[in-house]
Amino acid sequence: MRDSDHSIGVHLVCGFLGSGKTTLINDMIASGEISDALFLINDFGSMNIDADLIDSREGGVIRLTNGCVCCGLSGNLSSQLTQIRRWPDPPRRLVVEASGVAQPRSLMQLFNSAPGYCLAQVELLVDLSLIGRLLEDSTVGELVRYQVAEVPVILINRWDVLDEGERDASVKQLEALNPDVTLSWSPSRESGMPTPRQASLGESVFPELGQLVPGVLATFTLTLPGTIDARRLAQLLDAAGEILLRAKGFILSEEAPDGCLLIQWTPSGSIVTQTFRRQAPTLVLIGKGRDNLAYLATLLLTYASAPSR
Amino acid sequence: MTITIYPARRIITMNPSQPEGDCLAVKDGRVLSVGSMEHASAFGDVSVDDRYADKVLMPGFVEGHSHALEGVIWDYVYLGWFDKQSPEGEHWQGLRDVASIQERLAAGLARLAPGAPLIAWGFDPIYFSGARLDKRLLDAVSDEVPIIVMHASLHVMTINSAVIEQADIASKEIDGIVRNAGGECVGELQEMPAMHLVFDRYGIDFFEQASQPGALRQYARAARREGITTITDLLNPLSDDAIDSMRSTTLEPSFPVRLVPALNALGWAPEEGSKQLAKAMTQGHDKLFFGIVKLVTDGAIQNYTARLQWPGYLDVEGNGVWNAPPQTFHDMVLHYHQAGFQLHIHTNGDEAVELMLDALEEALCLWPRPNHRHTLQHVQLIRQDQLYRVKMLEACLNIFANHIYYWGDIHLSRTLGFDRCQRLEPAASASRLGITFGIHCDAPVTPLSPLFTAHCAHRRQTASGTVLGMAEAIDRHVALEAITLGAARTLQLDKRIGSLEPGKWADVAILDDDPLDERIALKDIRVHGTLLGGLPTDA
Repeated sequence: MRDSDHSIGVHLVCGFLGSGKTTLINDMIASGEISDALFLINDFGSMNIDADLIDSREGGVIRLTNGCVCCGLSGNLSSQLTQIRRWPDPPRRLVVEASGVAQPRSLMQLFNSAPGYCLAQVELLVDLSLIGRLLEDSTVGELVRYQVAEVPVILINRWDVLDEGERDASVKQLEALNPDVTLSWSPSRESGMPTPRQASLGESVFPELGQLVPGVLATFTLTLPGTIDARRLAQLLDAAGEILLRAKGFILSEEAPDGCLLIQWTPSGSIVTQTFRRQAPTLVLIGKGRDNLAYLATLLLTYASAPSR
Repeated sequence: MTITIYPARRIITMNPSQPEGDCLAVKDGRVLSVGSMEHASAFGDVSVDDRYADKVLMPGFVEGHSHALEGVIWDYVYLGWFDKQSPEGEHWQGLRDVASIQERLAAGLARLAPGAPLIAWGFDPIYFSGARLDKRLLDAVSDEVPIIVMHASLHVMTINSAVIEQADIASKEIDGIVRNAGGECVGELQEMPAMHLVFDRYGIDFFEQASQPGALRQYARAARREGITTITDLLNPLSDDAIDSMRSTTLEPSFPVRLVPALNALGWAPEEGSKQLAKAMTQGHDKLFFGIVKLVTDGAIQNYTARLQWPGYLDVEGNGVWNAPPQTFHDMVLHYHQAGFQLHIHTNGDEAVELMLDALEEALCLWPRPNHRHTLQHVQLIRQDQLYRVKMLEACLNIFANHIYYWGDIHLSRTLGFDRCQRLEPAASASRLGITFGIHCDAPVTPLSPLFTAHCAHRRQTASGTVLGMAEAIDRHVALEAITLGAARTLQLDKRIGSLEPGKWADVAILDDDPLDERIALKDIRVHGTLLGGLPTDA
């Protein structure tokens, strides 16, 4: 057993759902500044680690080239902590992404007391543009108020989308709940926030959509003949955002050899879900103008169809 | 293969076109006929086994919500308020005062292996108003051997001075370490941060043990004793090790039940969880079924942690807890629904029910899927409007009928009050609306015994004898259907089990008494044994 000088230093990242915890942790990993750390991630599926940084990926554990390891927070944190400190070569540092409903005070006490660990850093992330609504929410407001009240440091995200008046009002709300808190402001991301949608396209030429004139609301169902490249599909749907309201359906993809991919597209984002049932590959387009949708369908078939092998 | 015929006093089939019979004919593990011996003989040579000639046969019981943890806890000392039976059939009397608790701990101490801590379970403080179990009372048993008493909620433990010292509790600053006015630890630890000190010191992990072969065999024995032929483990980690262990153990010819584990969704990111479940499904066989995802949204009413709508709890302020942000549950429902799996969703309070009905409705609007059989579990307080939504969404329910007996008095006087207790566990309303439903025990929360569960739904009597809302009582036949075909439907296994009709597996509960005989309470019906696939499980 390690004595207190060798205990594992814990960096605790708290915050309600959507407060930016995953982004912060992704940034920490991408920066490469931390070595010999274990990242315990609550929302493991949303981790977006650059392939260059990954050494191996096996059984829900990602090993990074710099010696760090990422894995999911299991349903039983107590037993996970007991196991980790008994590893033959335990990490020097532990970064914990808490669940969105976790009470910071309780976790701070846990890491301050648990044998083999000591609390090195803790912060609560707050999306300033959402916090007003969250604090008043009937199902989770009380929980979020406790979270705000219990932490020494709040890291404020997404303040740049608010005007000064709104910003001040929200900050006053936080300070009223926790007068002793230290506020820390994350750097502004400005408008050019990188998203997966802006990833480069590869060799195939992206078709020019031209000016589409919105027509009356219509639905178009497209039967897909073979496998589809989901990334290209999403890109084309994004480009048709002026006339397209909704697209959903199943596609066959090499990414899902035993089932299909479920595509759900809306103007604000798309979700791709791997399913384990084989479904007829069909895409439903809902938008303004049937001709526009038919035109989009033609482009889809030529541009997003994966080459047969 | 020859045809085996089991003549019986009466056969209750749950098959509407042939509700009763007198000879069960079995071939290749399946029901061939329940008609007369003459009709069965038309299929070929028969051999008659008349050992059940004076028994009543029913479809084997299906326990749609319980946990393999039941197979672990009997390694430890039972301290519950109610009488209970161990998997070996040993009767453990409920303990109603501190002196009896001390006496039983002392007896456990005498049998304890040297160097091991004494671990006990099942103590429910809600029945001991006024008296508080503390280190003083445990030290009187021993202040040298570590003693750990887990409370029934699993959220609190009481420990003696030896544990306080060995796990270095007194020096720690954690809210959950209960202290007296002088700052001294009284021996009560609340919630994980405090209890972790003890788990870590003594290497205790009950949930890990629950997937081990020994625990699974113990669990299966306990189920068989109560006439169960299909049982769930409704919150399984579904790790690779757990899958391997369940597969090899259920493949043992002597393993007497079919097992249905459910993936604990909160233990996995949805994409990973889907993949793991799909992988598990390739490991299933006739006695092991994967495909269910379990989502635990809120807590329990008796712990004041269920999420209630207005007017909330009767005798405390504040509402219960969510186990994850509501949006996370919402997203998980969408994900697993779209991925093609079946969801079983723990919703004790009516606010939790409302939230999950919204999520199911959205999932079904986005992606209509007939026959999904998503099932809301517990639904103790589900309102009539919510019940109607369940019907319209074609969802299923599994109702926690045992609560009426075990906590009905508490709900009436402390947690819920009169009106909501008239409705508590509204099985009759579910039945009137034609909703598919089962009833369950949630072992080890309450004891395994489908006949007792049926009794609770039928009589609606609390432990003190008070009757809660007879408008929600179901008749015997409906109650018996709920512990057989109803539960089988919620598990999507009714094609194979749940009734005795030609083609289904010959899984049978063999009873000494007739459960349709109004003179005998359902809870007093004695279980003689079971058949699994037509073979006696006591062979």
